Amino acid sequence: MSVSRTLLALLEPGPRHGYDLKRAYDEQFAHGKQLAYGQVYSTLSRLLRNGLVEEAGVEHGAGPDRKRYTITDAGVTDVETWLRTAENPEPYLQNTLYTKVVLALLSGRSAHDVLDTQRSAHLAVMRDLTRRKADGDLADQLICDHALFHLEADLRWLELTAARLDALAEVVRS
Amino acid sequence: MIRDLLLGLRLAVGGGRISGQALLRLAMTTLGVALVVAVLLPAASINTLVSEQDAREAAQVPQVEPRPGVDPLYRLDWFIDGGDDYLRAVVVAPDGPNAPVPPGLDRIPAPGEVVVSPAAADYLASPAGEPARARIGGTVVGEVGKAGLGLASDRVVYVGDTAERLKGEDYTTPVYGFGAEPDGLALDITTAAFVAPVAVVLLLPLLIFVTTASRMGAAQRERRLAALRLLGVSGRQVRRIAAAESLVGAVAGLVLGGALFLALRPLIGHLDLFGMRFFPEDFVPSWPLVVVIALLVPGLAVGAAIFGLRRTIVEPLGVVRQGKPARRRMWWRWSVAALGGLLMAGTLLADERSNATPVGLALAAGSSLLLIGVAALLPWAVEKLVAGLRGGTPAWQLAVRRLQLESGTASRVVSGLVIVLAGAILIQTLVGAVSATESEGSRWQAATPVAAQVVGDDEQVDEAASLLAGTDGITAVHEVVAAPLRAAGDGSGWHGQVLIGDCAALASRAELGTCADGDVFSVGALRESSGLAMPEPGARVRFYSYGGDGEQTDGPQWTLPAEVRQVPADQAAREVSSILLVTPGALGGVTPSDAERVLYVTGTGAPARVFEAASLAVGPLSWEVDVRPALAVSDSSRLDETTRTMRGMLLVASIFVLAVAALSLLMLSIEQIVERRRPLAALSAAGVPLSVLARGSLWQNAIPVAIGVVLAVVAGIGITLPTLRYAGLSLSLDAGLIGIVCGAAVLAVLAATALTLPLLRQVTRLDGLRAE
Amino acid sequence: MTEPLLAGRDLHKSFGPTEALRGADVAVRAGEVLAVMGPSGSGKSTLLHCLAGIVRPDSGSIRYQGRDLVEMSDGERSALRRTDFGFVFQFGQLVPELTCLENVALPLRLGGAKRKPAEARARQWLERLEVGDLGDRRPGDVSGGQGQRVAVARALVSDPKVVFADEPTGALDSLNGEKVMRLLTDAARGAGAAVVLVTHEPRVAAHSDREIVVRDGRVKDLELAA
Ligand SMILES: Nc1ncnc2c1ncn2[C@@H]1O[C@H](COP(=O)(O)OP(=O)(O)O)[C@@H](O)[C@H]1O
Ligand SMILES: [Mg+2]
Repeated sequence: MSVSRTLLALLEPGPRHGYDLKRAYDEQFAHGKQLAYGQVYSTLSRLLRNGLVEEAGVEHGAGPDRKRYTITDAGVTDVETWLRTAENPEPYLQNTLYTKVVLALLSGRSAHDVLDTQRSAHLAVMRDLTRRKADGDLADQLICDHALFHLEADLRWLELTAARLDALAEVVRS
Repeated sequence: MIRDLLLGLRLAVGGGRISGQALLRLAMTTLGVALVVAVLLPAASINTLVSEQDAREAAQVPQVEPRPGVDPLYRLDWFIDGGDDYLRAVVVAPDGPNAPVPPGLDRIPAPGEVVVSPAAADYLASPAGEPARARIGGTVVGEVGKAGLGLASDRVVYVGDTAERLKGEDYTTPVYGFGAEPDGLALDITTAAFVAPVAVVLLLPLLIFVTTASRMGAAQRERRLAALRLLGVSGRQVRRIAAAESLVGAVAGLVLGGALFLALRPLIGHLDLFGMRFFPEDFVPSWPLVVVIALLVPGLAVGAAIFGLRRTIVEPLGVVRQGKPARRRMWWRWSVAALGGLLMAGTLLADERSNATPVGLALAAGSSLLLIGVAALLPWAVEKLVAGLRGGTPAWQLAVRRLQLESGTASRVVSGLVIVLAGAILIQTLVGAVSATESEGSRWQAATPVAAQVVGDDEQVDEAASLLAGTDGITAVHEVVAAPLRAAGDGSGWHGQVLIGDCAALASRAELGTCADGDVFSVGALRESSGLAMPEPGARVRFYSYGGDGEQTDGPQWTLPAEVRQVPADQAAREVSSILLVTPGALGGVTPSDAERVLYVTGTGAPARVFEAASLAVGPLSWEVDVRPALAVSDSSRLDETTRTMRGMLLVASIFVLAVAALSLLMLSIEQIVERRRPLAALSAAGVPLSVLARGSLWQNAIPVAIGVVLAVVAGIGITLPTLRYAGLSLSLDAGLIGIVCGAAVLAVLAATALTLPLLRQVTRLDGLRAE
Repeated sequence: MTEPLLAGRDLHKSFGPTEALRGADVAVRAGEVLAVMGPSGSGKSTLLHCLAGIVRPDSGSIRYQGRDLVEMSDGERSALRRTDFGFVFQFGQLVPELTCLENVALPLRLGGAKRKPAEARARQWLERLEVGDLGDRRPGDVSGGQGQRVAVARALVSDPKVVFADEPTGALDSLNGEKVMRLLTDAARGAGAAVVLVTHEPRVAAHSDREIVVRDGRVKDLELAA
């Protein structure tokens, strides 16, 4: 996910301090992974350089750095373009797992065991996510669901592969 | 259009696999339509039946106008009373070679020859016919053909005799030909009025059955039709397809019904209705009616199928039911019942046994309307009653809730039963009350009762007396003389009879106490309704006689003695109520002008045996004397027979309707079980015992039937009471009949439920759980 | 390891030529939620039916509280299902003519409870499953998700030791399925009932504590193997 575009979009409703920006980001998107101050400032300076934000003045007072940033017209256009552009669907090849299954088959080991172990692991994560979902707020639930659906997709692939192991074994061994 | 119908036909029977339910629907529709047709065809034959009989009877009417070139056939009607049964004998003798031959005979029987109808032959061959056989004598030389009979059960005997012997008889008529114009009134209003309600009563439950059958498996069929809609079939076409589907069962039913009629028709000849049997071959339905039946009955089944779809729109993606079922329209139901009730209540204003025609009509119309009203109100009553039910065991709750959801069909099924049962109670009660009245009267009998009376001309009576005298089993033969007598004066006063005989003879007729020659006894009237009092002691009375033309001719006068002993009516035989019993000495030489000599025969043993012995003894005199059984021996048993037949018919009709209702209930249960496959299977999986579910089905069948039976009994008695009051009769419920029908209702409910058990068991096995 | 509450060993079951189970081993511990997974037609439902005593396996043993279900008569198993087990199926298990409340009260009434107390208990359960307001409606008048919640209430109302759920969310959309699963597992855990949950959806199975996989009528139960 693009941190710089996210910060830029957070600036759109109105000017903010760098510290504000970090807090807003953490609240909405961090999910345990808070943004480092350093990253906020380096991102902001890159955005400044590219003319997407500009400084809106400095407040004198307590804090070390009380610079306020505001978004430029070019910045608004950039956000808009980004939101409107589709994300590249990533053809997630189950690279490692696929390799493991093929290798198991080739070496005469139980490919089912490989898949079962993986299913267990997947389900364990899914169980964890489901539990977190139950305790979390709406945002947590959406995020967890996202992950759950992805994991479910993996598991679907596992099931399908398991169902086709015999056919696969023939192809691989021939 | 034709293509749609063909597609419907293929859907009904084709496609290789027919689901069990579709097959059941087909079978039930076929059966229902077949039964309807089998009931309608005989009804459509009644016209032919009556007109054929009418034509035959008209052809038998003797012509007494002399015709040139035709010799007279002497003919004497001889009614042979055999006690429980009777024979109609006709004594014939030709007065020349050109005498007419009565219809049904090949030739005129010669003296000593006898021609008998099949029914008469059966009777004469039975032990009960022995006295009659002895009196008829002769040898049987032939059979009276159909042309000589009205009904197959007519007991007719043609007895050949000599013209010389017949000519002199008072009641002999010379006949020159046979045949008269038929009445032309083939089917009179009375018959129609009798047949129509019976047909309605039998048909109504059948029609309900057919409609229920043709709507079976509606959900499944609707899904299939929806699939057709998805393929681009229009809504109008779907209706045609549905129609064609039900047509299969209807046409099959039509054929089966016709076959059933033809197969069962010969059996009609064995059916005894009030002692009547019909000629089976007279049951020929009239063609226009056959066409009507052939069109109407399948049309009905098809109509019911389409009617069942009226509230559903079959859409490509399924079936949309348009809203809740319409509110039951109540006004006409209440109107019919209220009109009937008003008519019945109106008769309460009329005095007992007055103004017969309008009151009778009001009673008939009122009771019919009330019956129909009750049947029409039943669904509403069941709905209201069931809506009020709460709680109970889980099985009861299941049943009640199911009925609350949809009780209409079940109630419709039971309505027919209500009509029949209530109607049966009405008819049975009336018949029972009437027969109870008829057999009312004195039950007094002498210690050795009079078993037979022999009447005839002087010389024959003398001969009969001597024949009887030496007969085994006959202890005494008393002779009395019966003569008409009236109060002296202008003839507007009392008219009655005297029996003149010695004390021993009179004692066989009444409890006389002491008696000496010269005594006169007056037997009181049982009912004082005749209005005219018996003559007082010392009153002047006059004998009289009837001329051949019915005119009265005055005879000698006589004065009653100063002492006339009163005998209460219940101390005398029923035949002598309101009669004077006179010993010869009391007449003082007066001779009655029109005296009939009567021999009272008494004997040991049962009166019926004594009567037989007497008949056998006077056999040689054949038609020259009349032998009658004592009243008590005969009439009541003939009436019993009528009541018995009535009872049998009512019972058969009730059981038939009940069976049809039970079949309808069975179909309903099957349908509901199939529909509730999943919940039932889930309940069974959750450990609900089958017995709970079965009891649920049982209650569900039993509740409407129970309400129906109670309603029917109440309604039946309700409509009977005003009629009885008007007729001045007392209520005599045939508890046996009601008991049998109620018992049969219980059995029907049990049977219908039991028959669903296998299905219930199958459904509650695992299958219902598997997702389709 | 403690003795399992319900354990099936070496279960075999054929329907004609179809071998639905060919040696399945399962153990259900008290209070746990056990997911039974596997492709469709693998024998999950058959296994559930065997464990619940609805179907008698051709061979093998099913031990529950020291008794063998295989050896019990039909009547005894019926009674056991009524008192100790609860059931939730995919759909259509509610009696259409009874109200939702009466449906839920039914198991109690069959157990001999009077109507009033039974319906009071049923109402509490409907409220716990957040469908307290549907008591007087008929099943035909409520949505699929609501119906399943009523069914869950009915399964739990008699305080069963084990609830058997066969694809309980199979006919529901994700959101409703999610909700039903949450309520089902929460309520069962709250009541201390074990749940045997047949599903082929991983997201549904994620509500379990543990899963087993049925493949070709055989079960891999890692617990038992251990
Ligand atoms: N009552 C039955 N009659 C015949 N075959 C059945 C029956 N129940 C299940 N089967 C068969 O047994 C196999 C396993 O079925 P099931 O246990 O329903 O699988 P799952 O629930 O995993 O989809 C399937 O091949 C199914 O067709
Ligand atoms: Mg299944």
